[in-house]
Amino acid sequence: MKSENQIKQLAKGIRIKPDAVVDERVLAFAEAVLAKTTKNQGVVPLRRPSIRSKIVKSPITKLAAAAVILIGVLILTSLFVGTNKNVVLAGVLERVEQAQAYMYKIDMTMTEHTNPEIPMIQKIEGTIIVSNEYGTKSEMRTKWQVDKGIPDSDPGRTTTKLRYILPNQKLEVLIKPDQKKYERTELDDDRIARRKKEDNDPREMMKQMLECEYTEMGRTVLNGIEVEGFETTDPKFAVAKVEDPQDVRVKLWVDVKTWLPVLWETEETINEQMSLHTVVHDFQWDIPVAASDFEPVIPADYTSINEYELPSKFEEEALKGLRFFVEIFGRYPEDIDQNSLVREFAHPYLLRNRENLTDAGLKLKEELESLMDHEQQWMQRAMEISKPIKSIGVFYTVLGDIDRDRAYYGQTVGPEDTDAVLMRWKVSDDEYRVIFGDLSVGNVTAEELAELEKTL
Amino acid sequence: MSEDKYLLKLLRHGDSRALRRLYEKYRTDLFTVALSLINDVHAAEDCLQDVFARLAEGAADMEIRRNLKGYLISSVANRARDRLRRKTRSLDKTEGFGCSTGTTDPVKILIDREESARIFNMLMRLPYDQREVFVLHVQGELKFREIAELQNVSIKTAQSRYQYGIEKLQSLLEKDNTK
Repeated sequence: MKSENQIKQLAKGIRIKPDAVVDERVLAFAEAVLAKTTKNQGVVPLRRPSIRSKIVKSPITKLAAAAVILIGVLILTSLFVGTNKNVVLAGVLERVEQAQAYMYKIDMTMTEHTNPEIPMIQKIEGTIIVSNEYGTKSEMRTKWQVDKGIPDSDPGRTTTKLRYILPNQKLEVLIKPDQKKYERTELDDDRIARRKKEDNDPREMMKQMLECEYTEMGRTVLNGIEVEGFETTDPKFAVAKVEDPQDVRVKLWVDVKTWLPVLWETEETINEQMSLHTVVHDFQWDIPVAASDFEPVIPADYTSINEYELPSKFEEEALKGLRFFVEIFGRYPEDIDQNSLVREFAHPYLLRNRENLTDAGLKLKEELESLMDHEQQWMQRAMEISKPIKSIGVFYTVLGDIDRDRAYYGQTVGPEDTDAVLMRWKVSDDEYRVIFGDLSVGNVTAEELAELEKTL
Repeated sequence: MSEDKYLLKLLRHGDSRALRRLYEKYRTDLFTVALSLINDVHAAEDCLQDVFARLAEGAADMEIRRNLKGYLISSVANRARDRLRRKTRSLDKTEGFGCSTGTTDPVKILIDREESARIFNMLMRLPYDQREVFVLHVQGELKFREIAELQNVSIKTAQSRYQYGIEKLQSLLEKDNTK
């Protein structure tokens, strides 16, 4: 009798890999879900510092944050009748708010040691223009430094992002020139406020500073400008952005002549492994701006970030499958939904008891029958034969999974219907891809498709 | 931080490379467990798809208290149970919960080692609850405590089911050897 241990070893020896078609299908679907989720939840790409992913989410924390803001407003109100120190900073905020348009630069360094094997440093340099009338435009260049990366990572790569926050249109436009991608997102007030915080907008920073306990650092000279310094280590400064920061230190230097900010420096330790250092500098106040500065220019060859690109291999495999099906059955499958297709055709008994086979189909049937006494070989061959047919179902299922307005007309369209639409799916707002009866493939407009489908 | 936590972090930020890496890393384990539980290739494939879609969808809010593999294995087990529950509703009740539904052949061809194929077939003859404990503990490397939580039973019950499963497998193998 086998021991428990021997049985366990035997069971552990069962290692079954899904086949490559399944790998593609599972990944394509999961990636489509990921793209959709990222879009819907506003999950930020990693190239932006991870700190942003810690934006307060739970209703309780939101309430707490709201309470902090409320307290902040109360404190702010009291500031004007409070100490001189508070009056000074409140005055800075007032001056900042008077500026109709301003520009500033930002340098951020995010250091992560979450995995000792893969220390990661992101450096972001950006220029941001804010206009009361038109919105915000930012250009951020991110440099990734990963010593040892995950497979396919690209250490040292630099990416650029242009972002337009257009409150009048309630619209955010993100352009990624490196990828030739863009994204338009509807904006609500919450998102606008969140973006301002993420951009380290001096107005938001001032408001936060005024909510905190802070100390004066006295006067000094920075780049030839006499400045007065303020410092806070109050964790409230980051409470709206980061959950439970371990440590925060903020220094603000203000021009003593204009009482406008000259330099901000923040250091936030998010946890033992992650820290963020931000310097906001080169402020220019009341700069001239034009509406055209805030009009996003999206080159014609850029595509939407949210558009999921189907691997071309899927289409090729499906076409191969349809071609093969015609070769053995002389027609197209009536239904290509994966489940029904698999149930009807893509199993080892594919050709058993089948009638109306073509010559090629009969030949395959004979070949399979000749292998009946060699079970292993028979199974192997039967699986090989059913594989391309399965690919048709996989493709059609994935098209459905990612909402591509798919349709299939195998019940009425045959190989002889050369110009009829056998299958179609949406590729862009006004364009469909069509597999015709003769298995030629082409793109048509929605209008042309409507005409073609009238004849079916 | 482990590689999994790091990948999960990347995934939370929408990084599809992390998704691919996690898939490559765990697809065989998960597919093996799914197939050992439901003995239906297509249903196991769907299970795998559901689990990774859920991972992609929920990564942003996901808190993995234990290891990611354990979490994924548990997800497979939950989906396998759902599928079998649905299937059982449409089956003759005398056929039994989780019995082979005539798709053993494609499974067999996926397992190339004769002895592993043999134990796989024996596994299919265990009552589902026993098979689930065995598969999750041996192939999925879950602790009895985790399995007990999944099955909503006490740890002792989970351990007993495992023990009964082992004894039945021993007896089935013995009978098979004497044929």
